[in-house]
Amino acid sequence: MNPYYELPQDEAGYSFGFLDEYAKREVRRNILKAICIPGYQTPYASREMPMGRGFGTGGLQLTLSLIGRGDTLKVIDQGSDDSVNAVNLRHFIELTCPGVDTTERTQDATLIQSRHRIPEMRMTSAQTLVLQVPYPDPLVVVEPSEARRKIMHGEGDYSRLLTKLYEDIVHFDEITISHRYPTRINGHYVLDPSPIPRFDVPKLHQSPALILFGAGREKKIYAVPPYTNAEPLVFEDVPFRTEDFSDAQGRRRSCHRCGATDSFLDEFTGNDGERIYQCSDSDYCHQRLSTQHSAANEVSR
Amino acid sequence: MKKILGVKNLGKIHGSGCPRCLESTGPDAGSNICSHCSSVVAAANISFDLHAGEVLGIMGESGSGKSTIVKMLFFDEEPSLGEAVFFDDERQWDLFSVNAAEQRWLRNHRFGIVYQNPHLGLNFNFSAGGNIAERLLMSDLAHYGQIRERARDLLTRTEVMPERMDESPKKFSGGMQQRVQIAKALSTSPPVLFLDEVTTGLDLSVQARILDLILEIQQELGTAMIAVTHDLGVIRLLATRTIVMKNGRIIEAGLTDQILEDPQHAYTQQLVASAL
Amino acid sequence: MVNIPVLTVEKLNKRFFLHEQETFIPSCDDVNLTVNNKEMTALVGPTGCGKSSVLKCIYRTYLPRGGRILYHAEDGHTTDLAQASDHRILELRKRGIGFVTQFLHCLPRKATLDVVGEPLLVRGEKKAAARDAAADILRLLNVPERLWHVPPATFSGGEKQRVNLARGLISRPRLLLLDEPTASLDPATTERVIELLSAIKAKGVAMLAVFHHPELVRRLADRVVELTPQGAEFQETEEKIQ
Repeated sequence: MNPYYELPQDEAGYSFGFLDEYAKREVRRNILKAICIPGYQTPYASREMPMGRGFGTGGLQLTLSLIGRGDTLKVIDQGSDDSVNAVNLRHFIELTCPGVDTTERTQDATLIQSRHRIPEMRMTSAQTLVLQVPYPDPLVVVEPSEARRKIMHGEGDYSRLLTKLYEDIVHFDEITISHRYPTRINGHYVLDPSPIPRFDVPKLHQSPALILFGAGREKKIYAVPPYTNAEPLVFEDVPFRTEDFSDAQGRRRSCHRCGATDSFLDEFTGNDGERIYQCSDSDYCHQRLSTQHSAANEVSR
Repeated sequence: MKKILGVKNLGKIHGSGCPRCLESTGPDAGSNICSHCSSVVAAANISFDLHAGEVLGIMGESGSGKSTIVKMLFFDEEPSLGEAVFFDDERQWDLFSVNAAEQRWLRNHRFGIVYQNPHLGLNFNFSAGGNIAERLLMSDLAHYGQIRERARDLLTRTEVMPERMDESPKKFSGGMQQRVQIAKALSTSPPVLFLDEVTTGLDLSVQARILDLILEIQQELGTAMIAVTHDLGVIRLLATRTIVMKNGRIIEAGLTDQILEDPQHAYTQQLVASAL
Repeated sequence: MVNIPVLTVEKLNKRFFLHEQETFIPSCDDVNLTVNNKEMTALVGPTGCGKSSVLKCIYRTYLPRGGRILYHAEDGHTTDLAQASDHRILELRKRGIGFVTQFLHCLPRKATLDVVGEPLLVRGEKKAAARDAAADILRLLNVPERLWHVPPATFSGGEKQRVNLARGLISRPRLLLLDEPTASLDPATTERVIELLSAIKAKGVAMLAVFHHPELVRRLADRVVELTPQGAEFQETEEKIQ
C-alpha cells in the first residue's frame, strides 16, 4: 500500500460514503466473488453502521461501497420512496456521499437500494439493484446447524426445502410462502430473495440489471448476476404461481389511483370500511398518473 | 447369488489410537478399551460378504460393536480401518473413498436404514408422508402427484393407515413409527437395507408383526439386509447367516441354524444357552 | 439300470465341545454311507448313536469335525459339504438338498399355504404359483382344505407333521434328508406318506432317512446303514423289498 496515498475525507474525518476505503474495498471484493458464484452466500466483514442492525445496514454497506459521484440513487421501502426507512437511508447517503444525485424515478436511477420490493418498471443493464436482507439462508427453516447447511448448499441438496413445500400443499392445498420464496440461481444455489413477494420473484430471472443482496446482521452478500436463470423451487406438476389479485368474479383488481392492472397491489381499508387497492410501487403509480394527466391535457387543449 | 457387499478388515477406533490397540483389545483381552492408550476399539478386523437377497444377522451384546459396523457402512460414522466394496448393478463403489456427494447419492438411492430410535430415521417436524417425500425428493423425484402416490402405496404396504399419512409420526405408536421408517427406507427400492435393532423396545406382539413385515418385504423385493440385534429370536426369524460379535470382534460366523444349534465359541454357547 | 450316487459320506466324525463344562460329547464317528438316486438309504441304530447328527452334519446345521460329505451335483460337479462355504450350502439348500425334521420350524403367523410355498418363494417364484403348488401337495397329504388359510401353530402333531413334509417336498430336492417324518402320524396318513415317498423315489430323488418304525425301513429302504455309538457299520440289504 502506498504510504503517501491520502484517503479522501470530509471535514469531520469521514471518508466518502462513511466507510473507510479499506472497508469499501473489502465489500467490493466480496461483491465480485458473489457475482462469480451466483447465489452463493459470500461472508464479509459487516461493519458497524451508525444505525441498528435490521435497518438495512447490509444493503447500505453495499450501496456505500458501490456509489460514486456520477451515480443517481433511489431508495425504496416496501415500494415507497417516502416511508421512514427509505427517507432515513436516503438522507444518510446524501449526507455521507456529497455530490450524489437522488431520484424517485426508477428509470433515472443508476443504483437502487430497496427493501421488500423490486420496482415494477423493468430495470436495465445500466442499473444495479441492492436488496436489504434480514435472513440470507433459505435452509434455516429446515436445518438449524450452519455447518450442515453449508454442506447442503455445496451439494445442492434442497430436498428438505421441497419437503417443506410438500407439507404446505398437503396441509393448505397450495404453497403458502408469500414472500422470501426459495429460488434456485443458475441451476445450483438456492437463495432467499429477501422478503420480496412472490410477485417479484420472476423479475429475478434473466434480469438485465445486476441484483445484489446484503445481510448486515448475518454478514453475507450474494448476487443474481445480469441475465442469469432464477427459478423458484417447484414440483414438476405444481407450477409456481404469483399473487393474482383477482376478485370474487375472477377479474384482476386494479389500482384505485392509476388503474393499473399489472402491478403489485397493497390492500387497505378506506374510511367507509371498503377495501381499497393501490399500487405498492408509488413511483410507478405516480408516473402512470402524470402520463394520464398530460394525455388528458393534450386532449382538452 | 451375486455378492453385493464385500467388507474387509473394517475397524473403528475412538480416541488417539496406538500401534498396540488391536493386540490389547478383543474377546481374549475381555475388553475393547486399549490398556496402553485408553482408546476404544469399537470394532476391528471385521470382514464379511453380503450376497444379493440374503439377510445377514449381526448378533452381540450392547457395546460389542455391531451397530458401529452398520453406521460405518451407511456413512453415519467414519471408519478408522479397512475397506468395503459395494457391487452395484453397473459399477463398483469403494465405499470409503467416495466423495460426500457420492455418499449422499448412495445413501439416498442404493442403501436404506431403519434405526432403533425413530428420531434418527424420521423428521418429526414433517408428516409421515413428508418423511417419505423427503427421501424421494433426495432421489430426484420432483413430481408432487407421483410422490404422494408412492408414499401412499408404501404406507399401505407397511400397514400404516394411508388416511394418517398427513399426520406427524410424533403422534404414532412406536410400532407405527418403525413402519414409517421402513416405508421411508424402502421408498427408493434400495438393494441393501440396514436394520439396527428395529424391534428393540417394542411390545412383543408389535415386534412380531414388524418382523413379519420385514420378512415379507424381503421375499417380495429380494432386498439384501444386514440385521443388527441382540435378540436371538430376531436372528432365528430373519437371518440366513449370522455373525456373532464380542468386544468389537467377530468371534463366530456361520449359517444361522448352525450358530444356534452347534455354536462353537464359548460366548455363543453361553448366549444360546441363556436364551433357551 | 445303474443308479448313480448323489451323496457319499466318508469317515464322518462329529463331537461337541461344551466350554462351560469343559467336556467333549461324542456324537458320531467314522460314518460311511452312500445314497444313490432313485434309492433310499436308512440310518438305524439305538437312541443316541447319532442318527440325527449325521443328517444335520450333511445339512450343515452341525459343523462336521472330520471326514468328507461329497454331494454329486447333476452337472457332475462334486461339493464337499463339510468344507463348502456358507453361501454354497445355502444355494444347495435352495435347490438340491431338502430336510424334513420331526419339528416344524416356521413363521408362527403365516397361513399354512404360505408356509408350505415358502421354499419356492425363496427361490424367486411368484406368490400365486407357490400357493398353487402348495395346495397340490397339501391335498396329496390329506391336509383338510379348511386349514390351508390359517397358521399351523394350532394344528395337531400329525397335521403339523404333514405341513412339514409338504414344505420339504415342494421344492423337489435331488437329495432329501428325512428325520422321523412319520413320528406322530396316524396309520392312514403314514400309509399316504409311504406312497408319496415311494413315488418321489421312483422319480429319481435320493433319500437318506431315519425312521421310528422298523416297518418303514423294511418297506422303503434300499440300503440300511447301522450306526453304533462307536461308529457305523456298513450293511446293505440284499435285495430291494417291494
